[in-house]
Amino acid sequence: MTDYLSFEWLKLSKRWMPRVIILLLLGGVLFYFVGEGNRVADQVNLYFPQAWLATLFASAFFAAFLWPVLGGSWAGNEYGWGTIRLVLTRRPDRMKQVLGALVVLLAAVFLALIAGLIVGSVAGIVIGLVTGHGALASGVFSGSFLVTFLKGLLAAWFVAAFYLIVAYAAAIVFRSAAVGIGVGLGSILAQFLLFAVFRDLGNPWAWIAQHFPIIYANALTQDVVAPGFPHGSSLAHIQGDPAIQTSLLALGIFMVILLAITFTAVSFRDVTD
Amino acid sequence: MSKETIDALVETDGVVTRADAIPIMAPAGQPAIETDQLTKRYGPIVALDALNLRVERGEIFGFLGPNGAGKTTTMRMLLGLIQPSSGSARVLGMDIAEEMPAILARTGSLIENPTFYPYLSGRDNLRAVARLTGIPEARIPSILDLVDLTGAANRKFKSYSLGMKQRLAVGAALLADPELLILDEPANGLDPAGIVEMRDLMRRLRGEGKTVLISSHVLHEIEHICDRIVILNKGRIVVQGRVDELLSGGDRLEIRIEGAREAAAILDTEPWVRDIELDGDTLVVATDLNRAAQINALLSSHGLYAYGIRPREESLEQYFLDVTEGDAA
Repeated sequence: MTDYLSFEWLKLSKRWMPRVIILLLLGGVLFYFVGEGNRVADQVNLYFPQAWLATLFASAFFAAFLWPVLGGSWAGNEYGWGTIRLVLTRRPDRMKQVLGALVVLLAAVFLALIAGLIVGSVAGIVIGLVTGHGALASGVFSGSFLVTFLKGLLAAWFVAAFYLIVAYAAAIVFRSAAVGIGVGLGSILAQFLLFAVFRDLGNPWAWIAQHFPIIYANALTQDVVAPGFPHGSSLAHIQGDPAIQTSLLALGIFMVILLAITFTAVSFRDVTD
Repeated sequence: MSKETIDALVETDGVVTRADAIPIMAPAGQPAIETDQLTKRYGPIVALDALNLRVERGEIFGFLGPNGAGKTTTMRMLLGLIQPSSGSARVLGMDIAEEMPAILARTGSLIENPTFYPYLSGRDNLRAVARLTGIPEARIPSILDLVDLTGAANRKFKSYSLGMKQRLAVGAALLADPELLILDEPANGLDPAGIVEMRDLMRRLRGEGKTVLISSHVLHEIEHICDRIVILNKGRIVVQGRVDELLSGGDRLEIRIEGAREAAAILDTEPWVRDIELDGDTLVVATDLNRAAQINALLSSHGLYAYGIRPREESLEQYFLDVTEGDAA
């Protein structure tokens, strides 16, 4: 397995596209801080160290638009460039090839979140200083805050992994980067549109809409990080429906189904590209 | 190939080997490749129909056929990219259905186009392959030198010419120092000098005891480097055998002579002449090859003097077109 990981890491470290996506994420985080920082009522969410939680909240939001691009192109380009033949005529274990790629991509997502946290920290400190609040919010670094932060980090990563895997699976099934990215981004857009339509149609349509993956993905990070914000602030609100455990389970089931489809497709299909 | 590399080659009896290499005798026993009724169907289409193929160790084996004949399908099955519909195959003595990882560890390949990561340099692409296969990256400089890409090693693959891409693919195939090479159109895109270098490289590899299965549309090259060939058409073997035997044209003498029509009339009366073809100043006479001197004397006695008598040899190109009934190569 280490051979596959080393191989995928070399590719990742030399490719510009992941760096561009990470830069877009960092830009999105900065954009979020600038936008929220201009509203006096919301500034309290952005002071360091709550800036970490705000960053995770923003990162989970932008994940829907960024990580499908990485997942779809990473898997689909192997077929588009024909490099899947280069790989499988050297190492024929198709399951490990997919696993190696996913592990490295998810590591990249985690590193991007860490980079986002650094940018968010600086932005939070700057906002604190500019607004006269000070560089550091006092009395926040408690054990419970750190637990909330770690849970939030994992939740944001989990949500990003879901969006990435949707596009990755589609790219494998259709052997195309364009289709992978298209399905990854398009399915999100479609869910938003259908949710609005179904909700207005009443049950059972409204009930179905409540179980769309984006409902769980949107609720998860927000509900996990909410307890870490000052009481009464806009981000301290916990939706509670669906519950955190329900969101985790639902997204987990969706990912297992997508991975099962992916592994089935790569294991049994001929490589003719 | 670099000048230093070429200088390190010696030619003995038409076989080019490295001067410092100890030739490895082809191991006795199992063939390098053996297929048994190997078949591939895509729905109602039979891409490969009960192929029985045997490639001996240490030989260069040519795999020929028109487009769609089943060459690439066969190679893909031997490399585990596609699964046979029925039949079996053994590569280096191992079953392709059971032992593909071990087969690939000892096999270098190039299937169809050279495929690499366009955003990586030539060197980094080889590093990627080395990492994937657990080969020490220390081998990369010598491989780059071998395929004459040292100067372009740091350029992105997407900026390479087709010939450079092809050479990099051959280099990647050789990276693991494989026992068996399966090369699909390795001369594609190479200029004449590159084709000659490729030919020398193939011969050198044979001299080192390696087995090469090669498909190519450059039939002239196949004719010059392959020990044996198989010609496929529409998924079935049309013919296989040694190149020199297939191209010997049987017992036929080619006679170049002024007054060919008169000469044909004279020879036509001889009972040991089975057939005569007339083509301008050239006669093709079906007879025992050791009749050449007798024919020369006979024609001379009638005042007809041949300026050339030799055994008839077909080109592989003509032979290919004959056995595939003119299907495009």
